Amino acid sequence: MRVVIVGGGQAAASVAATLRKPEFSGEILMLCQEDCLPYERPPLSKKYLLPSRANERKTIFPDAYWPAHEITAKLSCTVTGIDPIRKIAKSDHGSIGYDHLVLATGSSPRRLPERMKGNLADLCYLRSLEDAGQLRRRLACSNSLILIGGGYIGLELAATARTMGLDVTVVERDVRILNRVASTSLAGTVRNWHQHHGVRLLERTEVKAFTDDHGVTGVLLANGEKLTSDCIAVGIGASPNTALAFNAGLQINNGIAVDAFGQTSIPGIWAAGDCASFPYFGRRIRLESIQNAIDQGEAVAENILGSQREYVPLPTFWSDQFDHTIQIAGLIEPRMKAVIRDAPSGRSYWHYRDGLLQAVEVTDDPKSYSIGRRMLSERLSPSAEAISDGNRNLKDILKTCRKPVMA
Amino acid sequence: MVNWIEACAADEVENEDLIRFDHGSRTFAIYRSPDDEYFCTDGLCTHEEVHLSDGLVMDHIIECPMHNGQFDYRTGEARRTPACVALKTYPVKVENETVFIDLGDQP
Ligand SMILES: Cc1cc2nc3c(=O)[nH]c(=O)nc-3n(C[C@H](O)[C@H](O)[C@H](O)COP(=O)(O)OP(=O)(O)OC[C@H]3O[C@@H](n4cnc5c(N)ncnc54)[C@H](O)[C@@H]3O)c2cc1C
Repeated sequence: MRVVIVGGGQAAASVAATLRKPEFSGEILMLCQEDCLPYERPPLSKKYLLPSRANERKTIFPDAYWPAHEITAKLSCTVTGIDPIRKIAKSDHGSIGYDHLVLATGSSPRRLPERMKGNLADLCYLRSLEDAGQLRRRLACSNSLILIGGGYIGLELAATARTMGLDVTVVERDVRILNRVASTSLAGTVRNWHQHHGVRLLERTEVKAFTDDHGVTGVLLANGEKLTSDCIAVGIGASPNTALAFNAGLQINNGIAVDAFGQTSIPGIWAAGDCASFPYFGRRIRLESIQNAIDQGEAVAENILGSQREYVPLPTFWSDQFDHTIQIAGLIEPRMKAVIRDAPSGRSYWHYRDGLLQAVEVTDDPKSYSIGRRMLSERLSPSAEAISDGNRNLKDILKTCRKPVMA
Repeated sequence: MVNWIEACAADEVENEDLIRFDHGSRTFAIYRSPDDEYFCTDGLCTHEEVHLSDGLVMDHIIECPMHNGQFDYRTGEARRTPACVALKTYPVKVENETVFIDLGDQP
């Protein structure tokens, strides 16, 4: 049996590593567009950009892992088409037959319309090691940075650049930073960190156009104000890479649509990671996180090997900004009520809906996060009173919830 | 060479839990399993330098609080990505309600 994986990111690595079990003697082939073995993207907006850090990619597995596990990684190889009838993947390195095909093509930064760019030479986007290398060189010779977009990547970049001493402005079109991905309470805490460190945050602020006056790049805002800086970076979200799947006739719905097992609308073709949308409690969601790439990749690999494992994750995410760490388990949605718990090092936000715990957001308090995550994954719901009682130990609360209720 | 170091009182570690133990410039994690056996590993996750003592022990697994990598704390084996390098483990003995770890030849 031959499994061909399209992509060489976190999800591709997870599929390959999970497939390579002692009982699987088939061929595993990973076709990666990028020119290096799978690496971690999270550092690219964080430590990697700091001049004090070695200019080194952080690999997902040591380089020796791949040959030792007989996984063939073809680098700089772009898959250009799929023939699902003859079961062939076509690439710029030739065609190859498969028994199972896994699409782990990831996502790409959403781009601003070309017309907004005006005569500006370049706007920086961040996804790959190559992008990060360019940005690193740019930041090293810049005194100021404007970020378009106050999502996680924009805010992480803002924190990193500010740590390097640059003047930093973040422009966010929405009513607030992190509007779709964090609660109002957590966003408030994050806003404080940035303001405390001297980042200028402009929320509810729209960009009208970019300008370039003799090498000085600028941003013209809808309110008429004009900002100038040495460098402009954009982080306004990402879109799933679905062109290949679409052209092969696969169903697309906010990403490559897969069923609970990770299979696409054509049997034998699977998808995992940023590019895939999957059923989740009566609706369809797509996640962009390391946890999702690893876990969905694992489920797909096991299902290729014959399991019938449904992928029903507890979504988790983290972000590092300045000396702070945010950790989130569960999905933040409207109509949730937050209970806040303070710890010596940080704070946790426990989100309830209809009296049930739905999500936990934590800043600088990994122990509370570990326990909250465990409660959510075991579908336990501690009472809001217990959680809000700072004198009660979380681990004891966890133990109490675990006790079976007597009928 | 055997080099037993006193780490903590046995009852400082709860059942199915762990604590952090710093010695000189190094940091360790001392575990107590559900069946009340004690174990010791290096204190930082091998993936990123995060203290495992903030993580959660479930059975014989320690889960890193940051990126959810998992290790079997009895053997140090990495059990779940993103962790892929094993944790170093150290012999442990309990005498007079005190936990000792053997750092061997290491300073
Ligand atoms: C700067 C940055 C910071 C981040 N920080 C965090 C964080 O702190 N925490 C967190 O949980 N997540 C974070 N993420 C998100 C996380 O990195 C992604 O969710 C994860 O990488 C998704 O993995 P993936 O394998 O689905 O996609 P990717 O990692 O994007 O990999 C897809 C790969 O497929 C290749 N490919 C695409 N099309 C083809 C083709 N036709 N042929 C061959 N190859 C192809 C691409 O070149 C790419 O290498 C961050 C992302 C970025 C960009």
